[in-house]
Amino acid sequence: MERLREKSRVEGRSLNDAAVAALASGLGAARDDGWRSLGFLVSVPPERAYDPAEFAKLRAATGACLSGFMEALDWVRGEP
Amino acid sequence: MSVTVVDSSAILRLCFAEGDLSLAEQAMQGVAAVSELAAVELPSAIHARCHRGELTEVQAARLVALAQSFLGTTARIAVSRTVLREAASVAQQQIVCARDAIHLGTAVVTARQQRRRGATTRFCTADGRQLAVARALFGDDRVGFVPPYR
Repeated sequence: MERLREKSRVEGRSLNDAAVAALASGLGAARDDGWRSLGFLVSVPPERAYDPAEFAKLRAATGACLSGFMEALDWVRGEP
Repeated sequence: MSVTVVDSSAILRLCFAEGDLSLAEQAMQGVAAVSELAAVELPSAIHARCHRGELTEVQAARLVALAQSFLGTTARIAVSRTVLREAASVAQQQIVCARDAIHLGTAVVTARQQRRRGATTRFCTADGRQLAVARALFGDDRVGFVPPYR
């Protein structure tokens, strides 16, 4: 409880918020790096922390040419 | 801790490692927030290339999974009535397409909410046209641009 109070004080969030973050962390949710400060704006919370090395492996595993997607996005957005 | 609202263009660059990623990587190390709209834009951009015969269906499926996995590391912001209202307000102030306005409206709403908590918000994009509007709205120091080449 004292650790929760300390965490709440240091992070400038309510005791309830700190407790929810600790529970979520214990249940294997993403490391809480402050996204909870976005509160009601968030429709889908992050499921895990960003790991550049993990994504480098995933990119390599796609076996696809990974260039030219900006043009595809421009097309999606209806831009010439 | 500051929040960075990341446009789909920057997510796409980061996802597929196109261009100089240092700024986008930096944004992802902090609190990265993305409009829910990205969940449609990213797969659409990938499937478009598949429909044009530039990717196989298997490759497209793998890339969509990669993009979704990437989005899974961000906080998705709802396209709420407040965001839509703000997007319309952005479009009233600047020449901007509707999708860009939604991403920028998302950033405006986020910045307002974070300001109440005494925190700052940044915006990160790889879209040159959106960049000018974002700088006009937030100021040069609050907007990061992901350039196309290393």
